[in-house]
Amino acid sequence: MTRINIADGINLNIIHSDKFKTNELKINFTLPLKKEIAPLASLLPAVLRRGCEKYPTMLLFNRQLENLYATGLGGTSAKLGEKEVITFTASFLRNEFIPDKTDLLSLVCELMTDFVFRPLLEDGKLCASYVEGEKKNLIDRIEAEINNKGAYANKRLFEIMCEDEAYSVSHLGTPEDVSAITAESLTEFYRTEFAKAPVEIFFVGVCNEDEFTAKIRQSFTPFARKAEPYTEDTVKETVQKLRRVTEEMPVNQGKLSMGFRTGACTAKKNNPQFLVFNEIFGGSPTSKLFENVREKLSLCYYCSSRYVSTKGIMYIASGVKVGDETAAEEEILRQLDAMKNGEFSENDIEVAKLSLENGYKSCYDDADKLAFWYFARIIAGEENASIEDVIEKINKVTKEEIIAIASTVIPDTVYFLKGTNLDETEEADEE
Amino acid sequence: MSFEIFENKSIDEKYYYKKHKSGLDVYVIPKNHGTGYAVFGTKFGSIDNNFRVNGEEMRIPDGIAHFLEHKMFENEDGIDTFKKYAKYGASANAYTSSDITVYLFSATANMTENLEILLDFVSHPYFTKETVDKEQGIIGQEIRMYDDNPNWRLYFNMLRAMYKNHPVNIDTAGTVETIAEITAETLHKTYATFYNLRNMALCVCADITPEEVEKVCDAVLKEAPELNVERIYPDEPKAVNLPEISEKMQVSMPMFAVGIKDPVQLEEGEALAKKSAEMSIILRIIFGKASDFYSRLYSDGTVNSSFSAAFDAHSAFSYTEISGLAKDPDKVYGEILAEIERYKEKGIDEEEFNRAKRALYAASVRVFDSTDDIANSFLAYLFCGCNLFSESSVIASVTLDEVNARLKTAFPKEAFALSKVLPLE
Repeated sequence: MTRINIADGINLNIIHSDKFKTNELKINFTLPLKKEIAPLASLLPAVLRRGCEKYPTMLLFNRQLENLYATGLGGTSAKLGEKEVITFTASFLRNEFIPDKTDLLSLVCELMTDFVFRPLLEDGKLCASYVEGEKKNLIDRIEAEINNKGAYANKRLFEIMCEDEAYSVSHLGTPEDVSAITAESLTEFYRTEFAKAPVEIFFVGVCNEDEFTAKIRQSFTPFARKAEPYTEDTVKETVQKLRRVTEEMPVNQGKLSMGFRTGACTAKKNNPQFLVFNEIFGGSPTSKLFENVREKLSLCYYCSSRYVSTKGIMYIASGVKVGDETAAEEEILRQLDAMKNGEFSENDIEVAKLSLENGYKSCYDDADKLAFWYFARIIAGEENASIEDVIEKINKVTKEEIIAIASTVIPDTVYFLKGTNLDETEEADEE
Repeated sequence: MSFEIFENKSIDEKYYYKKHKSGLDVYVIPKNHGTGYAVFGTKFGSIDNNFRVNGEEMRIPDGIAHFLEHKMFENEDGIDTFKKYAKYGASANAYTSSDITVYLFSATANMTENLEILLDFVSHPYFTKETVDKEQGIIGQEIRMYDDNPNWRLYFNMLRAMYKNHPVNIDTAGTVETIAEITAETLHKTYATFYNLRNMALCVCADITPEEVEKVCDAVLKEAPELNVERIYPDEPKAVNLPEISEKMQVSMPMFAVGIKDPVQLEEGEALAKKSAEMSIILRIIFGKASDFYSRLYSDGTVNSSFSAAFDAHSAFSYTEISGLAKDPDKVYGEILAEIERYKEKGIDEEEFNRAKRALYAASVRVFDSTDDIANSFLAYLFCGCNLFSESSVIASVTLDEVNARLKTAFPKEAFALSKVLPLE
């Protein structure tokens, strides 16, 4: 990867790859995850996508994209630890595969700056009808989160477990906060916080580095900014008392989400060791959780653990039959104890390392993943990280280190989303 | 006999083909991606519940294809298949759809070792009463999970509304009752029919030579007996089964899926590829993101970005699906019907036709970005008698007249069904 400073607060990261038929251009704006900012940050890209100065309506905008060989263009916001990142992405065919020799790369660079920096304005403000329309869509989207029960259970887990931490904030904002946004307040956000947010541009694909850099420099220099350096997430190392919350919903299956603190391991401390531990414990279909909770005891359909490295949090998500949740929780904790007691083999370690290596290497085959991985390292303060280095570190992890890491994992919160439809079905079955 | 080469120079891609001496069709797509991907599939899915094999008619329980897929991962030596793969760093999975069952792995190293595991476990069934009983518990949970999934209910109800007799209206996983009928014996019988190598195909998309793939096939696969399977499909009327199915679930916003049953159900090969390309062009023009329809309904808040329209082409059934989220699904349905009528009257013009063709050309090239997409799409096309590598030229060959002719016949009034999932209370 080549990293070039384009202007104050704006960096360009070029990842050369000729594996794809498409090129990908991404622009990331990083903001702190905050209740006041979240609804604005998640609304902005949708409003910008409605129209810009040059293509003022969605119809004109989308027709132009279709003419540019169905170039994909969009903006989203995402939660990354205690930061909120607004990402604008363009994905487009490489010039070599275009039958009529259009210089798509140049056209898309221009389109990108039109999209992000030259919005359609009315009386100096973002277009009010677009703001109102997208507010409705965003509120619908927030309310729709309940449709995915597993994701909803995880969201509730973090709201409860991290109530005093920024991490509890949903990056989409709440329906109330979105309702309160006006064209004025969104324009104000666009001209202040958004205009100060550090910018990381990523390009994955085929280009002439010098020509492309010159083009980006020319397009982006007018938008230089005084950006603050990236801050670290807060990490809570201890747990006062295990919390337990059960909520009910009229669905068939229960969702058990368990949150743990791993204060001794974060993105910067003992990260490779934790990755190997997590892979053995619950990160793969050969993991202890999958093998025991699902396969041996048939207590759930899925059961896996994930690691939020910048926050020092591990969480386990599982789908269980109502009534089996206590047994499932006990078995999960028993498996964690087994890890602490070193009840896993050298073969388990080998397998976990191979699986991680496989996962990391496969990033090279996915432009999105590749750009995201490097971006996440940059905002975690590791500009010089590389996939090769991480693989090398993972391969050096020892059994003793994994045992030591396992013993730092402390349960914090157990959340159970209890399905209440089951009794009816069972009664019906008996008739 | 050596491998045949098929090349598409304009997109810089090629594949090798050979019928292996075991009877298996073997395809190798060389690709310099770090991740190699292999799929080993059988033309057997949830719709294949009634068939004649070497003259004898058989009927098997609903959900057995999916059940069998789960059971294949257990082995006589007691070592779980995932563990075998894990030793060589592969990530493995499988899926069952209405007409195919596919076993796959991806790996960044040890392609031949992993390929050997794939071919070996899929060609060696092992079921006992105990393992079958246990699986009924696991799949029971999976069925429950699907019952809670509004997207799945929406989609499946759309199929049930469209199809009166065709088995595509049966849930892929079956029901708790139908899977209870499954025994080790029915599994063995089903396996012997559909996992005959002559009903299967292997596609490897990786940095590997055809000869390396053949060597693994030679080592693992035994010659399969001749096979004659005749699938029996009930007569399916041109009209839909029910005009509408509505279900209430825990969702925040109503969901809709309009299904339009294609007038021709049994069709494969070139005819199917052509129909699919023409339908994709039509749907992109009328309902795509650059259409008048989408722009108008999005701007007034009737639909949101979840709106989509696609043609799902299979050799035993095909349909159009137009779906999304909307506060008022009945209004959207009315608008969809009216827009189709409007286009049937006015026809498609040259400008929109060329724009849609250009966009679809791009989509057909983009598939080649990932070994995963290439291998999976290749197999799905193959089992319908089509060729992924020809898609861009099929699109290019479609004419405006053909599209306008198709537009007139593709949407008969009796072929429309609406599925809705509405919020509770």
